[in-house]
Amino acid sequence: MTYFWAFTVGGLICVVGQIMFDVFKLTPGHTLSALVVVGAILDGFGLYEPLIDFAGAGATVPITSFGNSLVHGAMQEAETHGLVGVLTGMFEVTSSGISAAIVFGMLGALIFKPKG
Amino acid sequence: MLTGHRTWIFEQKPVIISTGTVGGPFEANGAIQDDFDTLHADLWLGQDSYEKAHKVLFEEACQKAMEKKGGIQKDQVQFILDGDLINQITPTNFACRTIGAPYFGLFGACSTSMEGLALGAYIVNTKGAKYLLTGASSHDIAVEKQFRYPTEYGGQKPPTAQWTVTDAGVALLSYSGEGPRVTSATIGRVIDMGLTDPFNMGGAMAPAAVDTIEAHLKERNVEPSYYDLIVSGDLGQIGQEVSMDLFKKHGIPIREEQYQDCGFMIYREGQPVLAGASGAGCSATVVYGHLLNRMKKGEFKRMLVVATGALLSPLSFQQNESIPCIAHAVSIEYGGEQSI
Amino acid sequence: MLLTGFGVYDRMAQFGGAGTAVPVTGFGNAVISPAIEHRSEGLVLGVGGNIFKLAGSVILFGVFSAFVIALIKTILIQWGGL
Repeated sequence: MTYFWAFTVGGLICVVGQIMFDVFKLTPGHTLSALVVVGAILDGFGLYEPLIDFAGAGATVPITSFGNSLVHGAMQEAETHGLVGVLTGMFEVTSSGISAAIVFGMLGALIFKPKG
Repeated sequence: MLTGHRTWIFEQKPVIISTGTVGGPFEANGAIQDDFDTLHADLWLGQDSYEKAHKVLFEEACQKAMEKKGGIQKDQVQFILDGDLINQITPTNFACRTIGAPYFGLFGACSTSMEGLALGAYIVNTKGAKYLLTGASSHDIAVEKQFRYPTEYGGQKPPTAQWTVTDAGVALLSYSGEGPRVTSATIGRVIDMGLTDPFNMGGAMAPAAVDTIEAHLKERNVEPSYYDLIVSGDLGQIGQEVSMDLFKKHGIPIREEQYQDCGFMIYREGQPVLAGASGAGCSATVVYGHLLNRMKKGEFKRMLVVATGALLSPLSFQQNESIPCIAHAVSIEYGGEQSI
Repeated sequence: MLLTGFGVYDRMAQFGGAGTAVPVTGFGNAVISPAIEHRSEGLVLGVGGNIFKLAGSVILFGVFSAFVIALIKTILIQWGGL
C-alpha cells in the first residue's frame, strides 16, 4: 500500500510541476524554486511530516522535501539555541544532499565530457 | 542600383563560382548528406572545446570554397563577410585569423548568410572586389550552452523548439565566371510582434519574413510566380504555417509547393528535431550545397532565399524583452532566360 | 548524476518532463550538467563559476523561504511561551 501512495503522491507533485511548465510556461528554475518554497511553507504549518508518514518516498524524493528539510533543520536548532538556531540549523539535514551534489558534480566534470 | 526603398538590383549579376559546406554527425545522418563537402563524425572535430570546433567548421568550409575553384589562394580573396551566433562572433573571428583576408564580421543571427550574400554581391557588383567569401556557421552545443541550458541538463523542450544545426556554408563570389548568379537583394527591417518565447522562434520570425518578401516582390516588381522556389532559412513548422497565413491575409499568391524551408530539408523524418532545424549555418549550407546543386542540375532556374534571424540574447529574455526579428532576401538565378 | 554523465538523463527528461526535473535526481542533474559543460573553461572559473548556474535558484529560494518561515515560527513559539 505504501508503494501505491508513494507512486501517487510523488506522481502528483510531478504533475503539478509539469502543469507549471506547460500551462504557466515557467522555466525549470522557476518551477523548482516554487516547489521548494511550497515544501517549506507546508512544513511551517506542520503538514509535510504527516505527508511523509503517509506517502513515504513519494514525499521525500521530490524537491519539495528539500524545502521541508531546510525548515525542519532550522526549527530543530531554534528549539535548543533560540533565534540563532534558525541560521545554524538549516543545512543540518540537507547537508548530505548538497555535499553529495557538489562532490559528484566535481567528479563528473573531471570524468565526463558533454554529449548533447 | 537601388530600387524602391530597400532593394538592390545587381546589374552585373555577381557569380557564385564555388561553395564550401561542412557538417557534423547529425547532418551526416540527415536528408542531404551528399550535398556536403565534408562531414564530421563527432562534434569535437579534434578540438578540446566546442567553440574551437565551431571555428574549425568555418575554416574548413572556406578552404573548400577556395580550393574547389582550383587555385584561388587565401591572399586573392578581397574580403570575407560572415558571422555566427556565439558571443562576439569569436569562432568566425578566430577562423578569419587563419584565413587572413580583410574581414567584415556580421551579426544577423540566423539571417547572417543572406546578409553576407546581399552585401557581398553589392560589393562585387560595383567592382569593389574581385573575389569575395561570404557565409555563416553554427554549432549545436556551443549555441545551446550560450543560449539555453547545458546540453546534458534534463530540461524538456516543447514541440515548438528547434534544433541548431552544426555546420558551415560559404560561397565564393566573383565578378565573372560560371555559376549561379545573384541578381537582387532586399534588406530586412527589425520586426517585433511582441512574441517572447525563445522556444518558439519560428513563430516570432515569420512576420519578418513576410515583411521582407512583400517588399521584395513590390520593389522588384515581380509576381511570386517569377520564382520557382521561395525558401526560408529556418522558420520551421510553426513559422511556415504562420507565414502562409500571413501571405493569404495580405493577398500574396504564394503556393505551398513553392514555399519551402531550409530547416526542413536538412534532416530526415525520425531525427528528433522537434519543429525543424535552425542556426546561422542552416540556411548557408542548404542553399550553398543542396539548393545550388539542384539549380546546376537544372531543376529550377530562379530562387528567392529569405534567411530569418531572431535578434535576442539570453539576457534580453531574462529582462522580459520580446524577440525582435529580421529577414534578408536574396535572389539567385541560373541559366536560361534573362531576368528582369 | 551518473545518468547525466552517460548522456542519458537529458533524453529521459525530454520524455519525462517534470517527472525527471522534480525529484531530487533532477537536482543532481542540474548540478552536474553545467559542471561537465563548462570544463572547457577550466576547473576554477568554468566548473566552479558555473556549477550552481541552475541549482542556485532552488538553493536560494529554499534557504530564504525556510529562513523566513522558521523565523516566524520561532518567534510565535517564543511569544506563545511567555
